[in-house]
Amino acid sequence: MAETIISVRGLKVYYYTLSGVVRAVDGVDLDIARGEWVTIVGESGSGKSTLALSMMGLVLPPGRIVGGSVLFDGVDLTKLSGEELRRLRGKRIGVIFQDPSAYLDPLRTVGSQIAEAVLEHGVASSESDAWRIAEEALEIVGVPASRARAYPHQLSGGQRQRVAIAAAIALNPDVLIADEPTTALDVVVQARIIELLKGLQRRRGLTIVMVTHDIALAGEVSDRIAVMYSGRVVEWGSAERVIGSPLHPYTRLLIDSVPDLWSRRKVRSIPGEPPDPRRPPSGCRFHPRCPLAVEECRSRQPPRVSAADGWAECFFAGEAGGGR
Amino acid sequence: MEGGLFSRLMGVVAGLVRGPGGLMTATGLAIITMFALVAIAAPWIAPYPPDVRPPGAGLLEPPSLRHPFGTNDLGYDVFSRIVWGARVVLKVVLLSSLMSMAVGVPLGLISGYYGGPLDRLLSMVMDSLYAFPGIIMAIAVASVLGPSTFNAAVALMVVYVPTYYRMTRARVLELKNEPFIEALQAMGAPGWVILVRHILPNAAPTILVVFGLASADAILTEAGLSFFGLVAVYPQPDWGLDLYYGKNYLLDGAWWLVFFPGASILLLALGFALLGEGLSERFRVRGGSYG
Repeated sequence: MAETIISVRGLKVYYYTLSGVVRAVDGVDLDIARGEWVTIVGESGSGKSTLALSMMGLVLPPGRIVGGSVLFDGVDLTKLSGEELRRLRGKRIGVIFQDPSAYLDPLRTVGSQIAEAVLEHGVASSESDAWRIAEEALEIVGVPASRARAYPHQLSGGQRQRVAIAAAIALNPDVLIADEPTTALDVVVQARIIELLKGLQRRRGLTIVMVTHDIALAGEVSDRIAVMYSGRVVEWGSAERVIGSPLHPYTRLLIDSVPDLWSRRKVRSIPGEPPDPRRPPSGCRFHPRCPLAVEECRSRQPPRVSAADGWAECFFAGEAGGGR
Repeated sequence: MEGGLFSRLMGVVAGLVRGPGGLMTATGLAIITMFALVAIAAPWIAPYPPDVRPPGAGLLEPPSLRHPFGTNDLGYDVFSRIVWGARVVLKVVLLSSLMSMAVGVPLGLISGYYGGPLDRLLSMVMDSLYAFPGIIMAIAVASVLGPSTFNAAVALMVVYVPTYYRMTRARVLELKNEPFIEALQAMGAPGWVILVRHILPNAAPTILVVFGLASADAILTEAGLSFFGLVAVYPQPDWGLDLYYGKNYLLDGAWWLVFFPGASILLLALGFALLGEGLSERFRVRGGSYG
């Protein structure tokens, strides 16, 4: 296995809201290798975005990292000052978000926004160099360099997301965090953006951490998948294995909830509601919705059961096939 | 590629005049431009010196072809005094507005963006300034400093800084939650870059609207100051001062002594108010303290 670039250990990120403490990430361990594509899958409110963004030390108030560590290339991000983090962000860890139209300054041409970041982080020494790098980055993501002088509103949604990606890769980061990068785009554009990211991963050795609720998409593009439920990674392993033979009943139900054009299999929704993250259920957090739940699930946190390439947090994960 | 600053400026103006609220903006700009031209060209427009009795001029002459706005109790030509007086009021109001902006906007930016104890302290100071009625505070400050155009501008600045501060701060608080600002933070942009290059330009429409509306208010306050002799000293030409001396002759039927200075004050204030209102329609700035 390649060298580990991000290592998350016992990470806990809590949001201190007026209505209680939201345990968005509650004890997560993950090792992400350089150059791989890891996808974090989960329902809304499972803490997947919080986990991904905390991998670049980005925790917005009222959130706080209350425990654990995030090692990026050997440096513990939880111990860095705001200024040290700022220098790292963008330069070594880029990020793109869900709605590209909202994430660009409406008053600035897209080229100048990219050039500005390039200049700030010292990647270029002069304005003309920065502008050249911005144009190159746009070309790489498939936006003609002439569009550098366009304003965000003059571009389509897909082009805007390409611009956001160009801004992220112009600084030549090691890692790109993609927080639901295609959710706001239509399916055809979505495929092209994913293809673009895949190309960047292969050609530039870019490590990609993507967040999505779309487990089918995750299975197609990722090397490894982390399935999140109520603040915990309940299953972790190679995409092939997680999709092919899931160990955790939640993963199995997620897969079954995806419509399939070719099989006559019925789409099944997962019964019940995601738990209130302020008061997660005792024991295994999935037990109120789990078809396999037994008394033990209610009282005890299930152990981490190792598989060949990962693990699952379920009492039944050891038995072949888990939730089948 | 610049195409000249002037033509770019004209392009911006054309854009403002065409959008919603364009008629108000255009009327306001026309009025302000007219007064500005009058002030600049005062030596050529004014038929007589403002503080000398022209040969053959009677005292308290009603408007005529020779003296379109009449003459005052000393025989000075009222029209010439109005023309020269435009210089004083524009100088004081523009200077004070620019100074209020120069103080209020940066404080509002910092206060809104960084928050914390500094924000609370500044808000408290500004709110206490705001609690005073504008004219009372301006009179207090100007009386301490003594009568001069610069001192009057300083007095007005103190009155209007809280307006610029509050509106800028409120806009920054809105912008701070915009995803593109969060994205800039996520991409490691330094705070000052976000503030100066992204938040300030996006807050500029709000600041422009405040400029129009606060300046309109400042003209009225300035007139009050000059009425009390805190801007200029007679016989310097000054609208508010002329109003003060002219009122004594109102019962004698010399209406032109108060009508023309008063109308000039109102018209200029209207010009700025129309500009502010027009811009606020154009940019859909939600009404703040002047909305």
